Amino acid sequence: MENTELVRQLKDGNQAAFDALYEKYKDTLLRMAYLVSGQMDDAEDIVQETFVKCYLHIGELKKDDGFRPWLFQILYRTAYRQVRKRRREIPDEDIGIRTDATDGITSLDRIIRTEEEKMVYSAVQALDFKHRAVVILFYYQEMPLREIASVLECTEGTVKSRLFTARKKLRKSLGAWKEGGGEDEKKRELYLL
Amino acid sequence: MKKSVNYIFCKEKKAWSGMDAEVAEVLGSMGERIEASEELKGRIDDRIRTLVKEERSMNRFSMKKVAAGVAAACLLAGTVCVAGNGIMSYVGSTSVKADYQSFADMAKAEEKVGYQVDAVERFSNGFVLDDGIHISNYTVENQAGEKVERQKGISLEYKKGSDDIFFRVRKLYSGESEAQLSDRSTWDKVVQEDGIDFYYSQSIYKLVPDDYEITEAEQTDIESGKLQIAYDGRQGQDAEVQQSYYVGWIKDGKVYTLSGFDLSISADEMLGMAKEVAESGN
Repeated sequence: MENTELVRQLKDGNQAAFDALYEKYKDTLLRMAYLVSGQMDDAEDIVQETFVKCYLHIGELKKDDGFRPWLFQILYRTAYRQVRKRRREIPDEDIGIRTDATDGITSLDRIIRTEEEKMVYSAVQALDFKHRAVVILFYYQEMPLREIASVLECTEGTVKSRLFTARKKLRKSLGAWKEGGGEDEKKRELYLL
Repeated sequence: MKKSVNYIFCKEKKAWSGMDAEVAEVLGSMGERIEASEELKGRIDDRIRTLVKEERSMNRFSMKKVAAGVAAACLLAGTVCVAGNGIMSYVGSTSVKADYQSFADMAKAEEKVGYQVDAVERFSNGFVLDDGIHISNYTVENQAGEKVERQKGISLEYKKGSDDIFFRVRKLYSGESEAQLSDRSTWDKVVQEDGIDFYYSQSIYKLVPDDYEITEAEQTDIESGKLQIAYDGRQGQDAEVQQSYYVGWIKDGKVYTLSGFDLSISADEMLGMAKEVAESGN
C-alpha cells in the first residue's frame, strides 16, 4: 500500500497502518540512526522515540505525500538531541574511544568487517553531526538534495555547502589512510576500539 | 550492495567519483547488517500506550461523572457531551517545539488554526510568555474510539519565578455548548464579568506508575473532579502528588483554559489573569 494511503489511515486511528509503516521504515531508520549516532543502543532509542512521535503527531503532517521527509526530520532532530546529550555525558576527548562501548566489540565487528569499512566508518564518524548527517542522507539514503534540505530544515545551498565540506574532509581522511596515514591512522583506530 | 551516486555538483566531480562510490558502497554494506530487534516494536507500542493513557487521564473526566449530570467540568476538561450522539472524548497533542517564536506572530498562528483568539504576551502580575506559540491538534473520538472531528488550537506557556502557567484555547466541538456549564457544583469558585462565567477549581494531580491500583476512595475523588490520575510508564515507583490549578471560560464559541501545578498564586489572582485575557480581545 502507498504511503499516502497508510498515512491517511493512520490519521484516522488505524493501528494496522502504523504497523505497516513501522515495518516499512524500521530498518532504514535504525541504520540511519546508527550511522549518525555511532552507537547501537542510542540508535534503538532514537528510532523508538521517532516512531512514538510519528504516532502521536501524525495529525500535524500537512501533506500526506510528505511522510518520508517528515519522518526523517523527526529522526534527525531526535538523533541530534541524543548525540548532544551523549556529548555532555562523555568528555569530548573520550568520545572516539568510547564509541559503541556499550554495544561491545562483538556488535561492531558484526557490522564492520573489512579494513576498508573501518576506514570509511571512522572517517564518517570523525565528521561533526551536521556534516555526518548530510553524508548519510546523501550516500546511504541516496536522497535528492531537495529532500535532504527538507529533512534538515535548511536550503539546498546549505546542503551543498555541508556536503562539499564533508567530502573535502573525507577525501583528506581517506587519502591519508591510503597513503599509510601515520598519526591520522592511529587516531582513527581509536574510534574502532 | 552497490549504490549509484549520480548526483552532479561541484567542479571536483571527476576527482571525487571514486570516493563517492566507495563511501556509498561501504555504508550500504554496513547498513545491510543492521536490523531492528524483535523487542523494539513492543517497546514502541508500550510507550505509545502509556502516553495516550496519560493524555486521556489528564484530558478526560469519567463517564460516570457525565452520567451524574456534572457536565460543566467535562466541557472544559475533555469529555464532550453531544445530545443524541452519546458521550465522546477528545485527545489533544501539542508540538514540543514552538511553531512560532514570538508573540508578534500571533496573527500567523490565528491564520493557521483558522480563528482569532484572545491572548496576552504578559500579565499584570508578572507572568510572561515563554517558549513562543505552539499549535495543538485535537481529535474527538466517539465511544467506539473512532475519530469523528479534528481541530487546531493554540497553546502558550507563561513563567514567573518557579511558576509555570499553561494557556490553551480551542473552538467548541460540534454539539458542545456553553449551556452544559449550567451545573456549577464541581467548581471551587465561579465569577461572572461582562457576561462571561469564569470557573476555577483545584484538584490533586497524582502521577503514578503503570502498576498502580486506584483505591475506592480515589475513584470517588476522581468522579467528583477532585483527583486526576496520570500514568507515567514506570513500574514499581512511588506516586508523585501535585496540586493542580485550573480556570476555564467560554467566549465567542471558544474554550479557554489556564492551568498549572503547585502554583504560588491565589484563586482570585488566577481568575484575574483569566479576565485579563478575556479583556484583551475587547
